[in-house]
Amino acid sequence: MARLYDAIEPEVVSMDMLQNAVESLRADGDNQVVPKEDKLDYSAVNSLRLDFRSILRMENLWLFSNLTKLQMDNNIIERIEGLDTLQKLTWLDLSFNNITNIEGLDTLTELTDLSLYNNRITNIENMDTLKKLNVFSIGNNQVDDENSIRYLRRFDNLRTVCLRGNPFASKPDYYTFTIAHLPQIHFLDYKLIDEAPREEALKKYEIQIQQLITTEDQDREKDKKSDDKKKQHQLHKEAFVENMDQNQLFTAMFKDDSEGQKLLLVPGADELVAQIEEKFVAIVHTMFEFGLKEKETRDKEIDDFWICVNEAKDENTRRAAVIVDEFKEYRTQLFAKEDLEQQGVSSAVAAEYDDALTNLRNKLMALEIALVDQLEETIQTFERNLGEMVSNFTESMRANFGLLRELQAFFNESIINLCVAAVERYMKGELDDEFPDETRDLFADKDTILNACQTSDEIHRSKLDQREDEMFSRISNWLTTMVDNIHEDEEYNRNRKRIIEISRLIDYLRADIEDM
Amino acid sequence: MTETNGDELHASHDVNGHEHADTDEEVADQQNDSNNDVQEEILPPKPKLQPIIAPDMFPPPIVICENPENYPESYRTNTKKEELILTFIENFRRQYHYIYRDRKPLFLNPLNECGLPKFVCTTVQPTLLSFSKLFQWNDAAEFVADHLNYELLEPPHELPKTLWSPEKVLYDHRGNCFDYANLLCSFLIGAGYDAFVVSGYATREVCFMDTTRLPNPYIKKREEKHIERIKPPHKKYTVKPPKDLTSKYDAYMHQRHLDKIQADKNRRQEEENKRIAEIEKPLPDPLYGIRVHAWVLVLPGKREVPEAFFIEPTTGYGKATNDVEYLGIESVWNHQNYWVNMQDCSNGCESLQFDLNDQARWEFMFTYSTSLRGAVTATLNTIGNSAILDEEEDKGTVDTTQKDIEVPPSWVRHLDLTPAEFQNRYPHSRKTYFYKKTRVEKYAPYFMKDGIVLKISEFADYDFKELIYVTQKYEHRHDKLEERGHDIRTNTVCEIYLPGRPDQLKEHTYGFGPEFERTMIYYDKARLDGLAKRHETMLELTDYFVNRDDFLEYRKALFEPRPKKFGPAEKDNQRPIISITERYGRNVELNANDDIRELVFAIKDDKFVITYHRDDIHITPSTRTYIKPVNWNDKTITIKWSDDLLLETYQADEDFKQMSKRDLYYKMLKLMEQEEEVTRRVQKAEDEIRDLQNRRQQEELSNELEYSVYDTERNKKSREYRDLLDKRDKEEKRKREIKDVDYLAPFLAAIGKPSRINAHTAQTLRTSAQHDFKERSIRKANLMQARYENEVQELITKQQWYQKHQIGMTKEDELEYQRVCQDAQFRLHILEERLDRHKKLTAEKYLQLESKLNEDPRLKEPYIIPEEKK
Repeated sequence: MARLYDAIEPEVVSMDMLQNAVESLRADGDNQVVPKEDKLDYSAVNSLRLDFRSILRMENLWLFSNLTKLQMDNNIIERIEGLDTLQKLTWLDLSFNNITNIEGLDTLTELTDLSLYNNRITNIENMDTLKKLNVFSIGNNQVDDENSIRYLRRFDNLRTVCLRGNPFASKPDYYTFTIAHLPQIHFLDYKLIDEAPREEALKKYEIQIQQLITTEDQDREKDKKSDDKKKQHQLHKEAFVENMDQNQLFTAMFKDDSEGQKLLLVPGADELVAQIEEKFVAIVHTMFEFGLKEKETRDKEIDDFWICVNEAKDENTRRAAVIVDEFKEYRTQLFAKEDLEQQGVSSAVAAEYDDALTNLRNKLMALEIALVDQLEETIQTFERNLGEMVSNFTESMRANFGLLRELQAFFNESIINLCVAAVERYMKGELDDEFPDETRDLFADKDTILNACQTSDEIHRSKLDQREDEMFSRISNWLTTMVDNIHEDEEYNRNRKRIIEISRLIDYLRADIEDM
Repeated sequence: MTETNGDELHASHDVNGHEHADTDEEVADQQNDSNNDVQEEILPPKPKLQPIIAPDMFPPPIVICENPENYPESYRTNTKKEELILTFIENFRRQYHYIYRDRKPLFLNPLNECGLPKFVCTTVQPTLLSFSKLFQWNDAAEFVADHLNYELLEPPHELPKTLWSPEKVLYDHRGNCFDYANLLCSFLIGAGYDAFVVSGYATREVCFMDTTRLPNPYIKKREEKHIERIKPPHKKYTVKPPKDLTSKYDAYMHQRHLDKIQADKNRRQEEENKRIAEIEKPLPDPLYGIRVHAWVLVLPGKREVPEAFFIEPTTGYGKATNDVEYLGIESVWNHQNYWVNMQDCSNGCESLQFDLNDQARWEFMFTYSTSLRGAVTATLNTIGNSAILDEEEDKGTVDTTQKDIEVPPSWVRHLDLTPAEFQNRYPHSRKTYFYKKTRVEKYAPYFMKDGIVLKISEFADYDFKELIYVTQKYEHRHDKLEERGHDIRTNTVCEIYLPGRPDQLKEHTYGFGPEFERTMIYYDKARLDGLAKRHETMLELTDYFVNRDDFLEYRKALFEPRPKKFGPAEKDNQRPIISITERYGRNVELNANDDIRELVFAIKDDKFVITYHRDDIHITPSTRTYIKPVNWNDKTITIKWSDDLLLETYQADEDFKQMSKRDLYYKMLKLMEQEEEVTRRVQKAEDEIRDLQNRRQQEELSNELEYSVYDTERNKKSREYRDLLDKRDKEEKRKREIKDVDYLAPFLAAIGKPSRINAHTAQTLRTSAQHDFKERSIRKANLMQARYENEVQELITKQQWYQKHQIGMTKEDELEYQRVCQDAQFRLHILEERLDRHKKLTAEKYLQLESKLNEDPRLKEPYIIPEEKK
């Protein structure tokens, strides 16, 4: 029952409205057994009902970060929007609105129930991220298209679909087509699908579905491949040797080098390039392998470190917890004895308790300080070791880059020789027809050609330098960040938290006697 | 002569070179000797020539056999072979005696129950009974010990004159140590062990079967779970342990102090042990070293026995070969050979070697057995330890060595036991043993009305006066009671049940008297509520659970002490509860701070105390305490929230979410509901305990035994069913017999079932039967042929129709046509095969018929046709 919005004054989602909606959801209702809290805690609200209110725009909902259920049916909403922050939403009801397009749902990955009943939607689309969708209601809309149905095939968890009231649903093949194309659903239009008609329908659309499946499989395969590739690249990047597994670096050298490319047309350059490329790639490949291996060693080292640190922390925490438990036992006994004799605590007992508290505090603090010392030492060792590894990596890589530069120098020399020879021959007029026109003036005289060679060489060198710098700066950055984080989290934050906890505990326990 | 083999073999020892004629006189001498001067250890050498005494002139019979006719032939007479063997052993004995004058006589040919001398090797009757329980040596030994009543040797330092057949021993339930050993050896050899009867000397305790100095073999094995903490390997970054600031000197002094105390304790313990040993030490024995005893030796090799050991047949215990109780060995034998020990036994059996092939240490009687033993060990080395293989090998080797003199087959009938006899096990179905401070009574299953099979009474003193602990074991009880232990001192009873009770009770420990305490352990997997253990004392009731979905670990209720009342106690009274504590395990799906660890319903104080789980990174758990509103019991008033209700809250971390007042309020309402629920549960648990007590009393009174459905002897229903089945089987069989076709019957019927026929009629019958068979075969063949043709015709029509309509056909029709064609072809193929088969078989069947007719007695002289069998 979509209404025309111009007939009604649209409402705005305001603070008052939200407050009312939240309050009205509570079971006790008007019966105020619990005093009203002055400030509304939006993040504590799990479900919200904003129905029958002539809301036009979905707005001001971003505060409800823990919302799991949102009802906004029977409004005059035209666009789905403003839901990006409600990532925990599992239940969304937007039925009886004026929505024309499915959109803005991309972040709602937890959504299981979605109702868009009675809207003006023509296409089922833009829902790819809703992997957990279980119930989907799109009845009474304008869906009139087989592709929309096929679109629903991607939701593996979909069990219930409502499609009636759409133009498509009035077609004679509607039922068979739908149950054949959506084998995962159990209920269509809220009716259980029987086995027999489903088999029949499957038979009927066998070939089409087969084709569909094939395409879907291919797509999936493709996705998987690109995924794998991405992962691989990520791995290489973490080893700081990305794009070094093949000849990318070599090709990159010639990419921006227009003059150099021209120079390659010199007779004899082909062989030279092939030869150099082979050597170059071989060196780059050793670098690549070395990088991966180094990463493995580093990872193992880091794992080792964390296992040991966590063990130490757990052990320490456990011991502290035992001390606290023992104290609590003592406390219960102490007060139990006292209660039998008189009301309240005698001063002698209070003094004893106070002493015991101080003792407890000292013990816990001593444990903590011991842990801090232990961790500090371990972290320092780790830092040193890792630093050594990184410098080792850098050294080795630098040596390899040196090899690459030598190779480049050799290449440059050879190409100069070739060019000079070519120029001489050109002068003699032996090579007339072998050069394209634009190259010809390059070979007009020796100086030009030498200049060109030099430019090309510089470009190549700068490429190598660039790659080297990038690699080294990234690895040193990585090291500093990690070590800094460890210092920050393990040494500073953890210690502060523990100290606060201890003082909280002591304060809480001291309250026992202070009240008296 | 076969004897020469033995003689030649012993020629080296035979200094004087006796002639065969001397044998018989020596026999008589020997017998006289052994009768007259028994205690004389060194026998004087006998003059060589004596008047010849007839072989059957034995001294007056020691054995009086009242009813020799009841015994089989082999018991009453000696076969020729046996006679020969007897002569041979007399020769052996004479030579042995001559060479080793200072040795005691050997146990060679005692009298059997009919008063006949029999060679001991032939008295061993290897038998494998059909009870799997007798296949292992320890089970077999225990059975023999249980089955017989022990009789002492009289006098104790002399070999017995008689050795009864194992059959009689088994049947009479009594015997001396030689009878025991002989019977057990028969069983063990039958089960594939390399076992021997040993004749030798043992201490008085062993000979008297005095077990009162032995520790009780039924002592409960206390399960000790040794949890070894595996120390993690030292890793590269393992943190250094914090500095140890305690004084080493203090520790040292403390340790020294402890050591001193420990040493003191050890010394006192030692003294105590010595004192006990002194008490337990047997009195000196005047006959030490010459008490004759017999036991069993098992040699390694067969049945995966790793090394030689003794079995004491009177108790059934295995003993090491260097056991101090055994003081010497004269000879050993099995069913094949006899060996005399040539080793020095002054040091007991400690240094004896049991390689029977070693001629310097063991003097054997028959040669072939040596080569046999050699062969067996050889095969063992190559083939392996399988007992079956060995036996097969035995037979083969025996065949090849037939030419030597050999021990004749045993004269004893095959031993046999009925299952009922085996189950009764003990003489008169019961037997009592005494061990050190322990009395053990054993009963056969179903013998006692309450199903008791074993009763072990432990005493504090050596005279069996002060009872400490009684263990009773039951079998086949209806209430599944398996074991009851009664500790007399603390007056507590521990009962163990088998699975299958309706309340899944596994163990029940309880005491008598007012200060009662009881523990019940359940089969928790069988219980829906996962209850594993329930412990009750005067003021406490604790239920322990495992594997529950709500992670509940235990629920503990504290009760107020009941005011003491005189007069009849009111049982139904529920005890007032002080508090109930529930402990939960960690539910990993929740945050530690939201996951309740302990919930205390302090009912008396109107409080709830909640302790949450502790996070890994925190050292304190969060707690929360509620106070019940004053008017909580009044249902008409809606409880309102007030700040007094929440007494205190402690959160380990200030970042933890604070609960809103609303949440707290509902939480409290829920807690109040929960309190009612747990109170109900505690009361239910109490009721269950009372129920259990009543039920146990009833069960004790009814003491019914259960019979397995497979036990047709005892289970009446099973027997009836079995009888019914048997009856049905018989009927079936009869019916089948009737059904067996008589091919002549129709023709006989045609001529009016005459009782006699003549040759001509026989001929006619014969031809008509043959004719009839031919007719039938042809008819059958024709029928098949007709069907085949029919089928072919149909197929052709179908094909023609298809040819005609092929163009305008839909795809489905075409498929249908193909299917039909395939079916038809399949049928054709089958028909063809059947026809073929029929043709082949007919000829065969015809021949069969002919031969049957030829052999039929009715068609031969004198042509009598017997009455039809019913």
